[in-house]
Amino acid sequence: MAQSKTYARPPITEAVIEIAFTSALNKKDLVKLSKKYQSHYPKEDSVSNFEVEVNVRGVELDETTAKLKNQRLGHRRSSEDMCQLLVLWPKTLTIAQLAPYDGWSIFYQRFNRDWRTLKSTVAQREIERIGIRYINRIDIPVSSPVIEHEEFLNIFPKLPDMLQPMNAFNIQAQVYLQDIDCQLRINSAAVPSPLIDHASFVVDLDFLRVQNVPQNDRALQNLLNTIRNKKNEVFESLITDKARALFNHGN
Amino acid sequence: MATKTDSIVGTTNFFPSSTSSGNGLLFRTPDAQAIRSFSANSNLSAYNITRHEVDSRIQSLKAPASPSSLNTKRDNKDLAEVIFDATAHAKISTSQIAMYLDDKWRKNIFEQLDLLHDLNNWDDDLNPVNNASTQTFLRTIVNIKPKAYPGLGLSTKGNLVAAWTTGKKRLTIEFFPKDKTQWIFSQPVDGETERAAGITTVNRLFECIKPYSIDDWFTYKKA
Repeated sequence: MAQSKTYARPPITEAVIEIAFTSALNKKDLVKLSKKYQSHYPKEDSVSNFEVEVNVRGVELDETTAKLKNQRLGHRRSSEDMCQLLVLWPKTLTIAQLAPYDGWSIFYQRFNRDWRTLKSTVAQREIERIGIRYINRIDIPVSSPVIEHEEFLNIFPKLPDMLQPMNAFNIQAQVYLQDIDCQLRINSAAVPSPLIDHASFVVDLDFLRVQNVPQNDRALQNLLNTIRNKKNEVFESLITDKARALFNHGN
Repeated sequence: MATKTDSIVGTTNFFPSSTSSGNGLLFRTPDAQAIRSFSANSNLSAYNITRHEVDSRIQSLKAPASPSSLNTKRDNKDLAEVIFDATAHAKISTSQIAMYLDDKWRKNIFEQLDLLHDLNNWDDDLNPVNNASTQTFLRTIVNIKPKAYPGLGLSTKGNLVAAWTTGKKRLTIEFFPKDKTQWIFSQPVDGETERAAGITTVNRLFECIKPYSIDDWFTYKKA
């Protein structure tokens, strides 16, 4: 099991647990479920998601058609300080924690509480997908116009010398982790830094179990803990000791 | 341990880099080993792959919006919803740098934001807090690290205004979008009120105000 490191300034900006179901809740049940979370997440917002299909058949504009393929309406609930979020879509329950991140134990307890609320409110549903996502941001102090970001990260694009240095990058890798039977999607990009005189890089780790999905609470708990441990291992492999020093001593 | 890599390294999206100074930063990679190309089993031959598989792979490439970045419905929002949106954005922006603030700072900022946006005391001539102004404010306090909490206010345009006061000595800073600040310092000297003011960037702010007696409020040390 990967050693869990405790950093004084963990670089986690958002931690997410998502459970997706094979069948959707109807609108009435979704509203009823959303209300059940009111005491823990008093702020509510409506969210929507559209898919539009555009068919280009010829060169003339009137030969192109567009249609709304899919529209989802959901509920986003939040704590007063906007750091604890819960999003309900017809087919998914998502729990998120923004920084400050207080550790897996506290985050998992909240997920467990909200998961039990869902189960006691709506009929049992088959789980189609389980996901854990951690979005990290590494803030590197800048002392010269060129950042040697490979001194902090083990994930970056490789370009020939004649094309360096870069102004920006954005990469994605998808990996199958056989030992935990999960897909891992890694996104990494240079992003505008929220700090003065810093360069910032996002390392976004998205773990998905889409086959052999556990259907009972004990198996679900075991899987989430397994993924979390793997996440630590993966994250530590993507950063260097110089990055770790930033998380302990900061800017 | 990963046994199969299906990496799509070619999808680089270049966008103008945005930094505090507005100058582009440059990133250099070393002469590392070449990243492995597509695995032999990736089966992307134009003869074998179906349109459905292409659609599916494109879908899987998209990084879904995280819960904090979801768009909320924007039609016909009433005042309460507009104010909620504004304070929500400000709080989410604060969470982005929460690892550099202690909890008391965060709570202090949020309490003052909520008081400023109390619907029961809302003035229709005001605008709710502007998130770009909030970001300038946050960058300032992380950079300068004030040792005293400011009182917060709002300008009519929704810019955050911070004020530090000791007796009759006062420093007020208005935070504009894109790291611009306007500061005014006043203190009594020999029975008269002496004033100084300036407009500068967050980067230069401390240099501009440090000649004045601000030790009650700041002990800035650049990292």
